[in-house]
Amino acid sequence: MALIPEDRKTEGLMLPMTVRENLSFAALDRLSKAGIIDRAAEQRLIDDMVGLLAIKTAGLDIPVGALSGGNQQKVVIAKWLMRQPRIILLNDPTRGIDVGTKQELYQLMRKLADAGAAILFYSTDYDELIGCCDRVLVLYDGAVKRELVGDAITEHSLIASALNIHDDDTRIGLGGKA
Amino acid sequence: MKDWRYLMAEQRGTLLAFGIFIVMFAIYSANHPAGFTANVVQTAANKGVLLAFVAMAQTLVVITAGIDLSVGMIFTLTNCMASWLVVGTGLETAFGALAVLGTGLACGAVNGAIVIYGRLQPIVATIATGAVFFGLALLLRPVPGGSVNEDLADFLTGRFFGVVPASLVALLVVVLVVWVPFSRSELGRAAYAAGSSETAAYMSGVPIRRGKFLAYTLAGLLASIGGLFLTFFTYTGEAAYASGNAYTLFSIAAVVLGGVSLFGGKGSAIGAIFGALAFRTIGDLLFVFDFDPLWQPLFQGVILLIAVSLGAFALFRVRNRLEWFL
Repeated sequence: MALIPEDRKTEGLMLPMTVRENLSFAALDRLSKAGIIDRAAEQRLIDDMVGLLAIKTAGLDIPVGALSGGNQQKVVIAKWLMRQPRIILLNDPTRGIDVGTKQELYQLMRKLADAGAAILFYSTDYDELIGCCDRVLVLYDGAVKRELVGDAITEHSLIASALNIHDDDTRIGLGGKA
Repeated sequence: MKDWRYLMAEQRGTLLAFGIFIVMFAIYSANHPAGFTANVVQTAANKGVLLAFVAMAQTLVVITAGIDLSVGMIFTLTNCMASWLVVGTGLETAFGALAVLGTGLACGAVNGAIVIYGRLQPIVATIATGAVFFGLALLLRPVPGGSVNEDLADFLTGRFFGVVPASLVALLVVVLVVWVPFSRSELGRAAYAAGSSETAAYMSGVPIRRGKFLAYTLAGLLASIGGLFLTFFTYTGEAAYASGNAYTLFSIAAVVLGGVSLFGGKGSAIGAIFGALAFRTIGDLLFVFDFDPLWQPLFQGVILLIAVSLGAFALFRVRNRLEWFL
């Protein structure tokens, strides 16, 4: 299970530490033999991840704080993918990153979901939800108010549910499954 | 930006401490009446490694963004213990030394447990445990005295092949056996991560508590190795309050001089060792220039201020916060 937190600068990354160190943190126990880190295995896995996510960095031994916001976010995600998680929790992962990187992240999420991972994606951006999700749960007043599936995920239905407006036109797909 | 520039920046503290040490030692040995001889080097090494061991101990804790104000007292306590236990036949001596090192580990573990599981501030907790350790030292040695296995002591404070100071070799062995595995281990990285950003480390599932606990425990062990060597040099044990406190404070100075950040997450024991050696040499410089020893603290303080400021000068040039990382 992986958690990509909302604030990458304080919760996701150790900014002064190197890209390499940051990437390894979540998977350290898997990369270690008798408590000592296997540097060759670490390098292989890191190379894979840097390739998979196309992380743009001047090197693995530079501080992760020197990367752009988008690439920092990729490092946070890559860190967890090194564990091959089956459940991925994403808390507003596209905040403060450029459009191109956003697209890459959407595609990555699709790829992971198709490969069988369960992704819980939290977002405040309607377009993102409409474009990415198989199923959307709308919360209102501390409870799930509506579950939208497939074509039922429209801006209209999303906003109506979010504001708790009962509009029968939007009440389609209730109780569906992903 | 090339990797090596970042690597240089990463090692800047170590390099600076190394440079200061080399310059200081060159001035020192050039002005020493006996000159640059094996004897002078041996004496300097023997004095230097004591602080080097304690500074290494301090480094481990400072890396986790903590501080250990009891290292000097663990050093004193184990010195007093060693003056009772590290005597007699070879076997007795060996068991005695193990008991001393075990005590150091235990002291460190107590610190770690109080700070991590008791959630007390490291400063307060280690002041308190330091007082306890000193109290125990006083019980063991109300008056200075005792003895040590002199064969072992002479072997470890002498010279190999007539030129290489044995104490430096011992320091190297400790670096290879304690520091190198620590810095490459999962828990060692965890200690760095905890010092760098505890929240992010926690969110990444890093074993913070075990990493910090290991750092505190190994710090106790390293301080006790220092205590053992103090016994080898002096042949006695003494519960000296002023000396214990001085070692604690000097260890912090050495650590800073060696480029270890007091905010945690940055620096290495290698830097701290050179910091310690440089700091010791600064103190000894006055003797070769025939100054009154009363000047020593003043002189040491001024040099320390200058050395620490050298590191801070880089900040004045920063216009963009990103450059901090360069």
